[in-house]
Amino acid sequence: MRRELLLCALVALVAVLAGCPKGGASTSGDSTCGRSVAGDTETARTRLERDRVDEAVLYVDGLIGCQDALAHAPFLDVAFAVYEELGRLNDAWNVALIGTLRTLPSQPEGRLWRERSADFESRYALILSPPDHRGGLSIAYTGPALDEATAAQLAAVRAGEGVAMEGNLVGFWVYPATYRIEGQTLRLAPGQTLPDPRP
Amino acid sequence: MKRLLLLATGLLVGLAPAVPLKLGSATPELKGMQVQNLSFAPGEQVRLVHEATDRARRTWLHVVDVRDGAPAGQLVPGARSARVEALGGAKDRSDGAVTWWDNGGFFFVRALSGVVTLQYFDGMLRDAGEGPGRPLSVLPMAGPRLLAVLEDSGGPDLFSVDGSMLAASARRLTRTRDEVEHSLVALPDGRAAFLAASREETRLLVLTGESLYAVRLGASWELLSLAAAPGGLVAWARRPGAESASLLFVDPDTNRSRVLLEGGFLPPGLAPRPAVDPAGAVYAVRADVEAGNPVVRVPLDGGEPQVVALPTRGHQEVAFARYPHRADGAPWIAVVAVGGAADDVANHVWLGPLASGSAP
Repeated sequence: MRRELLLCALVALVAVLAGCPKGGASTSGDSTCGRSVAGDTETARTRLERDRVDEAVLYVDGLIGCQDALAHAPFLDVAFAVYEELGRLNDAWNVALIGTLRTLPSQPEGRLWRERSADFESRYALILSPPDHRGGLSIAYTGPALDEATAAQLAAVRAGEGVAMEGNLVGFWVYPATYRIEGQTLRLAPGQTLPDPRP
Repeated sequence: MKRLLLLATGLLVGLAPAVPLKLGSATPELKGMQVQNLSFAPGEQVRLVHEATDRARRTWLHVVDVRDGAPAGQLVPGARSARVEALGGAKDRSDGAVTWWDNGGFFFVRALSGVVTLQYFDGMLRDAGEGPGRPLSVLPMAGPRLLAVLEDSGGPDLFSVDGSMLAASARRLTRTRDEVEHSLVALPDGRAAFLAASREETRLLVLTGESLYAVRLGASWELLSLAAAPGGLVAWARRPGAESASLLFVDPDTNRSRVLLEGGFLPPGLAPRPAVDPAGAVYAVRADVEAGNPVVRVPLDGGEPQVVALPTRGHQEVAFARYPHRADGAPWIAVVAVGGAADDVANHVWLGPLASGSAP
């Protein structure tokens, strides 16, 4: 993997996912973590096969904060595919990170997750910002088709809501495209990493 | 006798400096598929997209990039995630109606699981939103805005969309129950033209602002496809009952038309657009089985069509583009032709630069 990540990133990530489940535990106590991980994972997978990713994500979001689900390899497999398909690249990266750090490089599953992570890094672009609390970057898509996935990715960049990366940096995964970033028009190619352009 | 004819044709082609075409559809994914509808990208980089259809009528789009003289292909994926595609997602898709936006990306229409959507591909799949009807084709215009043929309960009609996403506000420009609008073309002066086909007739319509007028052609023609050309329009057309097609030049301001080529060959299905050279010609396939359905260059000024020396035969389609910003400045030609090997009956895409020596 291009960026070796610290174990504390995993600890922090799992803590975040487990502590704030999107469809999991809530103040009213109606936790979805009590549902069958294997059953909901299978349902999500069959929805994907039938081109119904919008339905599959409901099951994935319902389990992503549950410890049992994060330890269930088929769930991570489906969650990664669902999030990538929807363009929720930061979420997909977090799942890949869990899959990678939960496995050894010598294991077949470990090799698979490392290959997926490498493929992910080669397909998308990464903006890296220091966590210096300057807030998010100014960014806009300049192409003709601003879809919901791209809009959500850019909203996350503007809000400074990224993923933990090596060197205590904050990463924002975005689709390769031409963007206007901090007043500059830049083409982000697949596999490219752009350091925060602000001085 | 057939062998003698083949040999004779080969000798004739061999005498001319043939265009060095390269195979553009030789990828394992396209093996056994029928290829059609070539479309060169505008801009600086030589790029082409074409359709490939399998026996189950599923249709994929294949993008061919030419870098350092060698074509490299990429299928437009069924899904954003390779994992989803591996799980079987989007395997039954039918993609088509390609319209380039710029050198970096194009719109296309995808039919999948009974749902038809407008997509944009620039290396990533992007959903171009939902409009007031099912998208059949679009044409990017200055503004930016889109002209779009959308089908609702009243059938297909032409809409003007304020922006490059279908979800932007749209105004209906036509309201017909029995006509299908297709073959949208942008004219250099900002107007647009298209064909409207019904069971009874085909009409050529021109859009000025948001006003429409019909171009009245004197003779009875079934108009099949349309392209912009210097000084007017070029259309593939067919006389009622005729087997072969004709190329027409049409002046949309005077209603005058003239035949550029008789005996043209068109593949089954939707007619490809005429391959116009902005320097004043059209490239077309002439229906002549014994000569291998040769590609001819037809001058717009009424000059005699001349055969282009190509190493391929059994041509079905031709496309043409100029890339003036490239160092060599050579125009590019692409053809769909039956492959070179004797036992290969599939058609293939071939493309290459049209050197000055090979162009008549």
